[in-house]
Amino acid sequence: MTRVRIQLGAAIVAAIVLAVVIASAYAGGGAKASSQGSASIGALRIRDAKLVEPASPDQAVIYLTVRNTGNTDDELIGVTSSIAGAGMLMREETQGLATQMLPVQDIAVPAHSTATLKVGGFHAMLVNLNSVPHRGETVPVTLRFARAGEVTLRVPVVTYEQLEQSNSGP
Amino acid sequence: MRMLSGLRWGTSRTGRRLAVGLTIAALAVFAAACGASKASTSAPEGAPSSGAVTLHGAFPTAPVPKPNLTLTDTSGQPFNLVQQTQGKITLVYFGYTHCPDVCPATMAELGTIMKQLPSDVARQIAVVFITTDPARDTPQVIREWLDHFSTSFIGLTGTEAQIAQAQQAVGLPPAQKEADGNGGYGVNHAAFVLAYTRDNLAHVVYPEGVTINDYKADLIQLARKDVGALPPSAPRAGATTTH
Repeated sequence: MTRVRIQLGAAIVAAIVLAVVIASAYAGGGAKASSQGSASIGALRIRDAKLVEPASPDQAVIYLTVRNTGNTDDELIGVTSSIAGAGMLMREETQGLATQMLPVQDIAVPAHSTATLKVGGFHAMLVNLNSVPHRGETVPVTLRFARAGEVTLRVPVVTYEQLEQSNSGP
Repeated sequence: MRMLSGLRWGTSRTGRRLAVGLTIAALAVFAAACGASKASTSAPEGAPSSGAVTLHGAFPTAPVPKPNLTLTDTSGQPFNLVQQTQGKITLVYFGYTHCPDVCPATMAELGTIMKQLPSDVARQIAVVFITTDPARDTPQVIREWLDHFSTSFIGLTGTEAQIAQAQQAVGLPPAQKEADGNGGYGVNHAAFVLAYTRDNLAHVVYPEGVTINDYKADLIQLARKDVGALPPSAPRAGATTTH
């Protein structure tokens, strides 16, 4: 019993050390990628970043939230990834009966507000993929903000089914 | 609330209010409208499987007829939308495979719903994807894309003229290509899934954001209660009033 406890304790310590090592590997310039799909830079808190396993081999979509805890407005102005030739910020606009996806220059992250990238609204799109990401993998994604600068985070790849479940959760 | 504009979606013939708005600015209103527009109606006496019907979708002012068009399916064969879905509850979505956001999310949701529905209900439902981007969406491209969601989904393409005709028939504007600045382009897609009942009319449509449980509840009713078998003059979910 005691031995089990010691082993469990050692495992926990090892896990913590590993987490710290992983986190510090991505830290730099004031940016921190604390866990999968999350990161902080300056006053910005990026959470719940997910890349959806694409059904088309040509492009993939990323959803996330950015909370601005500071007093200064910021804007998300770019997205890139080593798996894609280019990244774009997009918006879905519905007029009457039809919806069209339009590129946008920036997505506002006002002071003390949260910007949400989600289905049917804003999203980040990766195009010209050089490899198709699959569920369970993580993909390095760099977000560029007008004031806070750049932050790179590991974004988990999920299925649309998993995305639905996480959206319908509490 | 902003009213739908366009072909059959304008002012109702019966003067009933249309309880839905479809602009991005009206999204907040939209959720409320969907909630407020739940319709209850009873089948006339003697109708098969009669009973009250309560639906969660949004209601066009007048039902949208199923386009009587022959397009091309994913095996390259002609497919007549009316004849080959006759007798089925038919969910029709206009979209394109290079759409990363709403189109795959919609098809994925329908895939999940079809897996979760009781088998007697799922058997009565056909899901049809019609491309708004026939230039890139060949039968093979559509098949590979649809198979991510369900191998039983029907995928249709056609000439630009045929697709334009299909879009016009349901009140959608023709596809407009919008360059994305990286060598690709986006085209418009429908803001909703059309749900055709057995009378080949869509009395109810489902915008992005309708939950899986609401979809399932509606489809079970549409399949089992024979909503589409009501005579056109009967009061029905498609012409609800707001209170």
